[in-house]
Parts: sequence; C-alpha cells; structure tokens
Amino acid sequence: MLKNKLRILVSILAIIFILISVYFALIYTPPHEIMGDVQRIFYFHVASAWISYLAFGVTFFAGVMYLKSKDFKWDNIAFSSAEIGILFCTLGIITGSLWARPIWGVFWRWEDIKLFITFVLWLIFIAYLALRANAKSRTSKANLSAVFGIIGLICIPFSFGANRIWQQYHPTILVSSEGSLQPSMALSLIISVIAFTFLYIYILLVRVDIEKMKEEIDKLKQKVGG
Amino acid sequence: MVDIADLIYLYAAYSIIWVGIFLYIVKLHTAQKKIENELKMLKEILNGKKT
Repeated sequence: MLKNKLRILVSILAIIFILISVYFALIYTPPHEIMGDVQRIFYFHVASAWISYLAFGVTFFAGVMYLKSKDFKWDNIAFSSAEIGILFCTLGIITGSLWARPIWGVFWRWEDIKLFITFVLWLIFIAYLALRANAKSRTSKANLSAVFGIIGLICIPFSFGANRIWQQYHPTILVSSEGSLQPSMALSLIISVIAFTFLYIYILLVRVDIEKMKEEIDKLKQKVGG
Repeated sequence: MVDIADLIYLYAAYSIIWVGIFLYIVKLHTAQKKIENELKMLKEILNGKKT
C-alpha cells in the first residue's frame, strides 16, 4: 500500500517536472547565440547521460550488496537499474549524435575519447543483459551480473571526465571558467535533470516490482508442479 | 548561427526521447499486468489444491 502511494507520488512529481522542463527547454530559455535552437537538445541529452550514470551506479551498488548478502532482492534492483541505464544511455547517444550533425557536420567522432568511452560503457551493459539471458542458474546469473556491473562502473568516471581531461570535441559545461551557460540555461538543465531523476525512480520501482513478481511466480510454479 | 533546416534535428531528438520513454513505460505496464494476472491465477490454483 505504502509502495503504491510512493509510486503514485513519484509518477506525479515526474509528470509535473517533465512538463516544466519541456516548457523551460523549449520556451523559457533563449536560443544559444552560436548554436541556435539545436542547442535545446542539450537539456535532455545531458539529463539522459546523468540518468545512465546514476542507473549504472545503482547497478554497481546493488551488485556489491548482492555479493555481500546473496539476497536476490539486490540482484533484481541491479538488473532493473541496468536496463533503465541502457535505455537512457541509448537516448543520450542518439540525441548527442543529432546535436553533433548540424554542429560538427558529422553524427559521430570516433577520435573523441568521451564518445568512445561512452560507447564502450553502453556495450558493457548490453553484454551484461546478454550474459544474464544466457546464464544457466539463478545464482550464476546474479553473480556474473554483479561482477559485470562492477566492471561497468569503472567506465563511468572516464566517460564523465574525458572531456574535462582531454578537451577534444565534446563540450564541457560544468567547469567552464567563462561560464558558457547562461543562468536560464543552467536552470533549464537542472529542471530536466530533476524531471529525469523522478522518472528514473518511478521506472525503477515498477521494474523491480515486475522482477519480484516473476520470482514469486517461479516459486508458486514449483509448488503447483510439486 | 545554425540554419533553420537544422531544426529537424531538434524535432527528431525530442521525438526519439519522449516516444522512446513512453514506449518503454507502456511495455513495462503491459508486462506488469500480464504477470499480475499470472500470479493471481497461480494463487487460485494453489488455494484450490489446498481446499
């Protein structure tokens, strides 16, 4: 009952913040003086990337907790979060490419380390899902996933920091000494990130609930069969 | 300044984001409903066996 109330509350907050974020991104914030309206992609591109990092971070944490406790509850959280992370990482990559085409003239630059590492991160978690699908027992599935989740986390600091260290093509927004973001743009970005964070929590609650019910079904099937 | 024709990329990006998220949530809710029904059915079978 409390869980349902929490889910409803989070979904309402997500909807409210999504509507506000779309208003801020498309109407309130002026177009960028150099990039024009295409820059508006950035608000949800960055929010998607942030959620993918958060989701993979939760996968790592839940994976570690599973290895410590051997409680499948943690494995369900890790798997659910990894799936959501892949969704948002995919959206981040696609929207980044759609921003890059008019600005750089190409959809993708393999020579940019940030782009390359983010692609590797995405591949690691695709492999994570493939690995789970092919693991034989429930325990080996959870163990392998936890280890893969930990490996995946290693990429996150590199993916996040690559453009700050090497300063290639990908823009850096948070550490610019010139303050490349106007206050209205920064506000729009913060609201988009908050909206996507609520959306992530909502999806995670639903996804974990599905995994929990699947486990219950497996147990009941054994009882019915026996 | 970017050409007005480049707005197609803005439109495409927003469409992909919202349609992608919407479809994923719809898929989750469909799966959730299906699993809930299966769980209910199994519980009924088990209760029937007990009585």
